[in-house]
Amino acid sequence: MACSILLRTIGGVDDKRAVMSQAQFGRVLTIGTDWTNLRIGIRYSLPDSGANILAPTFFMGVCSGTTAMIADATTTNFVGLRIGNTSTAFTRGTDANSKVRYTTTNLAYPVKRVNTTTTAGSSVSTSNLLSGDTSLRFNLMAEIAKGSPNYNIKFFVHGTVDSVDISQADFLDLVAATTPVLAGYTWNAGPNNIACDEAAGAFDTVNLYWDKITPGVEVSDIAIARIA
Amino acid sequence: MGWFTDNMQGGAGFTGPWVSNVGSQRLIASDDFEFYTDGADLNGLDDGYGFTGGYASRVTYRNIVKAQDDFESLADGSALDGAVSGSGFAAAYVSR
Repeated sequence: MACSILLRTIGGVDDKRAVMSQAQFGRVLTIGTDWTNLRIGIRYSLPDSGANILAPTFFMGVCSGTTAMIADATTTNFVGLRIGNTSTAFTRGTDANSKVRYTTTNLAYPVKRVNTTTTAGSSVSTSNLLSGDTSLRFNLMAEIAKGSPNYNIKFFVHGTVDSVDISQADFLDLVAATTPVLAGYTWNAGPNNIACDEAAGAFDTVNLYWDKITPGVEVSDIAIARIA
Repeated sequence: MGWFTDNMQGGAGFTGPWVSNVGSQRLIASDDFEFYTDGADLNGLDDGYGFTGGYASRVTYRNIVKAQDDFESLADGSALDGAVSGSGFAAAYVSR
């Protein structure tokens, strides 16, 4: 189903969010394919579901056009980051301030999908925490570096410290930073390789997908930076 | 140009000159690169305030942040499909 817009008020300020509930969205970029290193960032949170999230998958990357994206029956071409798999849960827990978050240890993968075939690289050893409190927006970024034969999928995730809300200004600074640095976050520059090319379709569209109806992923902001 | 020189007159509602010990130029030169074309060679471009010549550079100017959206122009409860918002995107969102 289509993503919907949800108004929340955080700290007295309106925050309209695109909610993905078993949904995907995509949008063609003005720069098209004029990039070799593209970073995609979101500022997001999830509502507390009160339980572990069973066997979830989240995708963030680039695809070719919007006709056949990552979650469609067939996909023209997609490459990016996947968090989660079909056999392992995101574990619900709390930090020292009783703020809810979901742990996704070692569940980050470079991934591609062409037609009906999804191919994942090796899982990356990382501790990634997803915000389970709608007032605490985390930063999540994936960076796609073109190469031959491998693309390197870098990512920026929340690590191990207590949950902190990220401002929009800080989020935008991090998206454009050469090397993002933020206390409690981890920048994994890889190489997290996935053999990939644009023969099936040029990568010109940002594309996100979350496969659970509850809880939905609430995206407060999205930003894309051409690093090179 | 000078900033707040001690004999500077002007402005509505004041009855006398500015009194200040700051008489020298404070803003020497600045450039935010907003006049450049993304992807252009920075060499030889003449732009910005306070410079007398173009840049000498071996780099290509890049406007780093190319697309962003905070969804604020969209209506609460509406579908994301078809919404036109944000900068740096070539078309509306598609969601399903």
